Amino acid sequence: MRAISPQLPRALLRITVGIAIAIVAMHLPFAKSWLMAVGGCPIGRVSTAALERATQANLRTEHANARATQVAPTRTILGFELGQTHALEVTRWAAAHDLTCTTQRQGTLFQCKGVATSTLPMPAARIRTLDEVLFTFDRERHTLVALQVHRFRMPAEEMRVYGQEVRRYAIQTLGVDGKEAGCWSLASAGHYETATLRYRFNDVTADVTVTALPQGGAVRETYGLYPSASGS
Amino acid sequence: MKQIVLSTGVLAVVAGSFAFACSDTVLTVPSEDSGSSDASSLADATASSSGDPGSSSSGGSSSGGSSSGGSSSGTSADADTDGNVADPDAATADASSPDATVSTLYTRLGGKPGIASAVDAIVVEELKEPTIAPFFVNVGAGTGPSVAQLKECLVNQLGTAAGGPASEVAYPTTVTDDYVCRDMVTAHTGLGIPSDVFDKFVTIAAGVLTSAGVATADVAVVGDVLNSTKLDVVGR
Repeated sequence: MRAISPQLPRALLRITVGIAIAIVAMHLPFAKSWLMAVGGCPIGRVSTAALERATQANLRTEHANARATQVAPTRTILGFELGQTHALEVTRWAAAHDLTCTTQRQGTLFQCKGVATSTLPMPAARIRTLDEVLFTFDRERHTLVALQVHRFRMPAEEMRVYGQEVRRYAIQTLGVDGKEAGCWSLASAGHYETATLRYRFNDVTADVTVTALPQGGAVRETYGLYPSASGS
Repeated sequence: MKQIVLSTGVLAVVAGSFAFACSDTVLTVPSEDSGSSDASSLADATASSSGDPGSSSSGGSSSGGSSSGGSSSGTSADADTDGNVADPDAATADASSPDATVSTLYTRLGGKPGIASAVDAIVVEELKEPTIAPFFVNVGAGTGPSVAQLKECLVNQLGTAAGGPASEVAYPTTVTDDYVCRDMVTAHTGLGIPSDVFDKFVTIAAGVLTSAGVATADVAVVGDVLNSTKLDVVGR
């Protein structure tokens, strides 16, 4: 049997102390940006399973409260089918278009930034780039359960035009049974002027929101499948 | 406190083949629930919350091709078994007959119960956004506030900003189980919330309030309150 070097415990102690100092240093104010760059502090981070449970519980509650009986006319949104499109198909699509995307939360979240609209079946008059497209997948089946599209910091006129195009797309796709609030002309362009279009089908939930934030217009589209429709 | 002149009206602007329905209605009927859920997790909390602000059977009023304009405006609250208003839309006042006595944002939002209902509805929608949900799901899991305490703090903060009387709301304040609501910097330190995520949060909140029939000017006041915290929340 090899004898343990008397230097080893001391070396281990040095390494342990070094790691501890590094961890503490990463949490100091000046190093916060570095910590966030490597994904933030893992302590206290919520698990993917807990997140999925909470999200599904939230959707089940909404579904029960909505009491909707009508089924969505389609589950295909921007070329992706809720409940059917597999995560691999989305990653292949992203790779084919050389998009900048990251896989998170054990493959349940796929986040793409700076997505060219030409990569999606969208109305031709829409803007050229989407700030962010988020794909959420069922943890077990790896099928698409939610899709979000975001645009931020838009000039007022661009926000109006794009907002109306997104609204038109939603109506063409999901029909006229959505519920609208606010003024889509966004005529005043005052801060926080907001227009919304929301659908609560028996299987699908969808919202389009346009808001004139002080830092620029924000347009948000969110489409999701209720757990009962996805079999979760 | 900014005083907002009550304005209601319906405007239809036809553009292309679609009619843009415009409406400003006022939320006046509070729910019966104060939002003081004792749920131990967000999943429990949302399961016991009053739910979606804009939900209605098969999507509610049809407006895609309509020029009759705007959100539905039912007048009777529909309470669930917990006594919560299941459909906050039902609490939206008729746009054609606003209550002229309702003159402050606090009262227009339905007072403390109405604001609690709005906070519930906003949390429900925020949880559907995958980049925001993790920040809410962690609530109640550590040494911070429980979901119920967090909601109490938010209701007091928003209620105070909306001009609520000191006898009903205060901020900073101490809530259930002697929990002292933290200032925004302390509450968000270590979360590393990006600017875009904050903007999504405000967009979602504005959308929920607009869908619930809150007037544009009132949404702007709430938006200003939220946005005024951005420097304290983002990147910490």
